[in-house]
Amino acid sequence: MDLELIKKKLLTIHSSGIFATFDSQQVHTCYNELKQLLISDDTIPIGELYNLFELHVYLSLITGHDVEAKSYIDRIVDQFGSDNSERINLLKAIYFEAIGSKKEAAGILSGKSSELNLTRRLATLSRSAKENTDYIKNLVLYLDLQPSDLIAWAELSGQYESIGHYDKAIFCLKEVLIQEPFDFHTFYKVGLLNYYLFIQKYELVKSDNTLKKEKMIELVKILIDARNNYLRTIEICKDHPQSWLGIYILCNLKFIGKLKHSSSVIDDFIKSIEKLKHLSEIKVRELTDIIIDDIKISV
Amino acid sequence: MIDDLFLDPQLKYWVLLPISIVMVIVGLVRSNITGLLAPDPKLDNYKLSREKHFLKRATSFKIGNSVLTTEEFQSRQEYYVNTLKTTEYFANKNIANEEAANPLTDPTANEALMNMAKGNIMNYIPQTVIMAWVNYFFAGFVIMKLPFPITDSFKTMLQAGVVTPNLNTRYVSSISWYFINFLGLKPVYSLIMNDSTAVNELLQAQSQQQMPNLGAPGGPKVDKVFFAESENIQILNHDSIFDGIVDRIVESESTTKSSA
Repeated sequence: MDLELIKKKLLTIHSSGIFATFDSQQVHTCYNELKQLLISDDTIPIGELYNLFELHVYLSLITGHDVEAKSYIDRIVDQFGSDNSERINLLKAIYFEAIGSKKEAAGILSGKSSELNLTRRLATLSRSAKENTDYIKNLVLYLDLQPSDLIAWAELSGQYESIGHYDKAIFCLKEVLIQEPFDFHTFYKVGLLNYYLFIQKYELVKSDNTLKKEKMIELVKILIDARNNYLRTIEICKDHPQSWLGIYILCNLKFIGKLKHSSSVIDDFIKSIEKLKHLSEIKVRELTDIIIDDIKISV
Repeated sequence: MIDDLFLDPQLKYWVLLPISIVMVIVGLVRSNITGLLAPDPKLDNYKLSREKHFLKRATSFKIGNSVLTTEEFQSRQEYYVNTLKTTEYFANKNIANEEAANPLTDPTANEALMNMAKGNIMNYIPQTVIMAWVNYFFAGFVIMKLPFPITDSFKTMLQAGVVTPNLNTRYVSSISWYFINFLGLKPVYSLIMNDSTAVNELLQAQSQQQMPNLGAPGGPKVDKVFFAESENIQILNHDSIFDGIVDRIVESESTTKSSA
């Protein structure tokens, strides 16, 4: 095959970054082709050559050739130095991450907070199962640089949820909904988070028998939000079983029986619950295998 | 008004279908060539990218705020109105004091201008050629009759190039068929290309309506765009989709039940 064509193909793979989605067979073929090309063609112009070197580093790391990756990084650094280049720093950080020196990788990445790709990488790197304070901090930093990145907002919401900051998690998901107003999964998630938020706040005050009116209205407002988001899910995706189950649980909360104070918010809520109670029961029976009598609602 | 006109069935094979096929093929070829001419993706300056992202977030809020409750809407509205008036998200914080650079003497603008010119040329030349072709060979042709009645106000749209005030609006002229194809081929493209993003790019190039191209030569200045956006957000009316949602759901469920 013509070397020129192979070179063009590899350069396109490099500039598009598509190698990240290759399966293992494709990665190996690409790696072998590139290796062969670098050996047999010594007329590659210097600009293209270093792009190919960069691709070679990535492919070597994916295929487990760490030493080779290091040698190519060294050649790139020899040529350009590494102090001022975001791209080279990213390459080095990925290498350190691949060989397991996460500390060194984080050191390189956190050097400059203004560089977008490094910040994104840092956010991903700081993700760990046990502790997510750093991860959240880095995600917030990244979202300040890319305020409309929906995946990052959704990810941040998940992290806040995992540490019980439901109000913040809801805020993040609302950012997703503003841009994707028909995403019913997210509406359902917001409904669920509002329900969790209610339980969290109710746990703090449930021992208090003389619950103040303001506190009660605040709790009811959270339930209204949960109800509304479940219903919106149903409006977009008719017969969404989890949302109907959510509505059923809301309608049967013991808390609702304790609502003594009278206010327009509470009265409207109780009226709506009466409208939905029977309907949700029918829907849960129709759409799920759950036996209604088995559902235990303790709150 | 003349109701019936006998159309030669050969018109279908020699005029109607050729125009449609040529337009589809040219559209596909053009999208492929545009892809080949597109410059390699470059890393955006992070400050510029941040500025664009923030504007996108604010615009999305303007369009999609109905998913918020009143309290959420008010707090976000206040935030956007205030933040858009500051320089916090500007890529270049001194923009108000700077004179607009002349795009013809600014060396950094050359490449952007060149890309813009390439895109426009790829868009206009094929369209002009096809239009000239249709006009040259099929000028004044009445090529089809719509299978449904249509009001007289469509006459200018459907019978361009045919000077017959009394002809029934259901008849379509060749040049009008060209325009209908020009504007309405999206489903055909999405069927053939099997890739909705490519189709959208293609149609976006045709319609020429894009987000304000901040920072590009000749583009609007960021402080003006941000200020205008903050004013738009200040006068927003908020209608929440959650208003009356309980009644809507109960009603829709009862109608489903009664129709079942």
